[in-house]
Amino acid sequence: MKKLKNTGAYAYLLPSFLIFGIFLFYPFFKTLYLSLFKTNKMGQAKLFVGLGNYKELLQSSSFWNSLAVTLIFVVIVVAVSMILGLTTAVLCNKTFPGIRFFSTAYALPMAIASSSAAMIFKIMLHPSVGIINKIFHLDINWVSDPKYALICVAVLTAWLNSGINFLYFSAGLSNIDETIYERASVDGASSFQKFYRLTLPGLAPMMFYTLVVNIIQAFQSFGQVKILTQGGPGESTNLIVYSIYRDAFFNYRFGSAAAQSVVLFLIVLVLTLVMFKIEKKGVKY
Amino acid sequence: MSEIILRDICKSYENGFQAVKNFNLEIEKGELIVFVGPSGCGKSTTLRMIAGLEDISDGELWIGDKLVNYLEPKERDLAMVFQSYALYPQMNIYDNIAFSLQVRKVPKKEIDKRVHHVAELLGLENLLRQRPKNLSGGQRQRVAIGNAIIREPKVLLMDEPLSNLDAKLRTQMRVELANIHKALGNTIIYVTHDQTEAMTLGDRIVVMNQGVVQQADAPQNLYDYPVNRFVAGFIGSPSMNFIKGLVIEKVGIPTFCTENDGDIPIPDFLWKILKRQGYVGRNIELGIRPEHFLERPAGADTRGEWKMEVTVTARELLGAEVILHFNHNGQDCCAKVSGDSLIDKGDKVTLWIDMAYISAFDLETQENITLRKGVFS
Repeated sequence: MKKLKNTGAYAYLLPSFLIFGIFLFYPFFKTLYLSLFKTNKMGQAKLFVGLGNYKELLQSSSFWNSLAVTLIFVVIVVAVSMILGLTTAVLCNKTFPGIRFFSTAYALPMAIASSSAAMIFKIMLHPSVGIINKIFHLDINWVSDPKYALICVAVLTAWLNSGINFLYFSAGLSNIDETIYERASVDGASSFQKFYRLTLPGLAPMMFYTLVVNIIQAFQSFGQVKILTQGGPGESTNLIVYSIYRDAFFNYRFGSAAAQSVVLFLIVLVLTLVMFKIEKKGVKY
Repeated sequence: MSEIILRDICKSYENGFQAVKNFNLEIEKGELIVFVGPSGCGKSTTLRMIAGLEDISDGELWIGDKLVNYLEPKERDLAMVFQSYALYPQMNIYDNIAFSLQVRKVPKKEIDKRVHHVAELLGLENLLRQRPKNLSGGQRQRVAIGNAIIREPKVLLMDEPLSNLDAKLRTQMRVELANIHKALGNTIIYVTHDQTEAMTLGDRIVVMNQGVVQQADAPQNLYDYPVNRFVAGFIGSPSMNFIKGLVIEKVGIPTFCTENDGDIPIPDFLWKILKRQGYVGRNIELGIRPEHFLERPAGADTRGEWKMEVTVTARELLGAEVILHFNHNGQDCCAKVSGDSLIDKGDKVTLWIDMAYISAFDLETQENITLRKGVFS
């Protein structure tokens, strides 16, 4: 009888296991497996090299460059998108005429596909007909100049991610009891003191969650790089995900691409674990 | 000189609703004023206008000798205790109490001294490192009060501070509040819907209804001389009983005719008042406090006596007293008699009324007829 009960339970779990299995677990283990092989052009494992692919990666200056670029990119994206999301959420936390328009506008980037946003930015940033250069009377070749290309991609990504952050922070703000602000007014706190001593600590749990999600999301940015810069100029925007894509589908080095994927996975895993460790100590609910 | 003056204070909202209408009051330094009334009567709104959390639609608010209508809350030098306590959840108790000093950049040493002084006064010393969520309701209440008194503000505002506590704790905190007021001597404005709290705490009580001040007076005066039917019914627990009837002179005897209980002779003092004001031949309402129902006649008395035959529908023993409920002309009434009374539920008994304490109310204006100026003789 008991056995039968369990069978029923497993039967219910089967569909989700199946989907996870096909789209998550199988690719995951296959990637681990592939990272230990040299492959042919069809992506089939042909020659077992052990950790050879990893060794090559560690010696490749291109890989180190793409790690460095990714790191700078993530820092800019996370910082800018969190600040954007927080500022817009705080601005929209009061009722005023037209609030619906503004909150929709601030949440909108969430609904825009990264590649279509990149297309729009590409036109806006165009050196001769782009609106950015026109408005500021500049003559900068934004996406073709190694100095600016990474910043352009990062700011675009930050704006795209700020929509969901706006939503997270709005939810976090509405969880803070209104009366503590009233008490703070009577107690004599200025707006800045209220923000710094009440709003920020009140948002801390949400802030932490948003930070984790943002970092993971930033590491995985792909579409905007593909459309806007294709990793160039040179390798100045060759983010790790783009480098994986290029290695696998242009250079047909699936083994190396798989190894890079595993490294990316480890970096994100370690970062997340570290953040959860810090959270236990630092974030108070 | 008065500490706070409210002159024709009004609060109206955009949809035309008037929450407070022409509120006038002068509050003396060191006084404990209680605003009391049913929910939605505008008492909290008035308090929040004094605090600066709501705009004043019309009228003048003076604190000290300054017109403060347009001052920010923090510039008004007052402190407030909220119904929900509004403790800062992320700060420990020490910071919660010290907050108002910290934001004013008071030196740390001074803050430390004062926090410990206040904590000692309120019995919070062992809790200073705790967070609000770890505290019981009574302790949170104390923290809220601690935060309010640490700055030694001119005026302390309290918005139903005891309503989230259980009955026993409420009584205890009520006494503590009275003691704190005595010890610190600052002006307190206290809002509550609980008339017992109002009666026990207030130096003066402001009874409000539908945005209008009904009466502002000392507790005893409110109880003994309510200006209208609302105040009479609101102050006192259980509340006053009201009986409708016609005032006439029947074969030379002043009589109060009720529908079912027949005729009742009107005592002389009341008759004089009614006659002088032209209530003979008109319907009025008599108000009788529950404790003025007696189990036996009050004795030989020239003021006249009134007895009622009633059937007791419920008996509530409160210990020293018993509340008897009965129905009179479709209206629920109650009488408060001594705890050793043998009257039980279902009994048909006669209750006498001590006519010396009776009040009469105009049916239209709801005014207390017995109180009109120049009537006392």
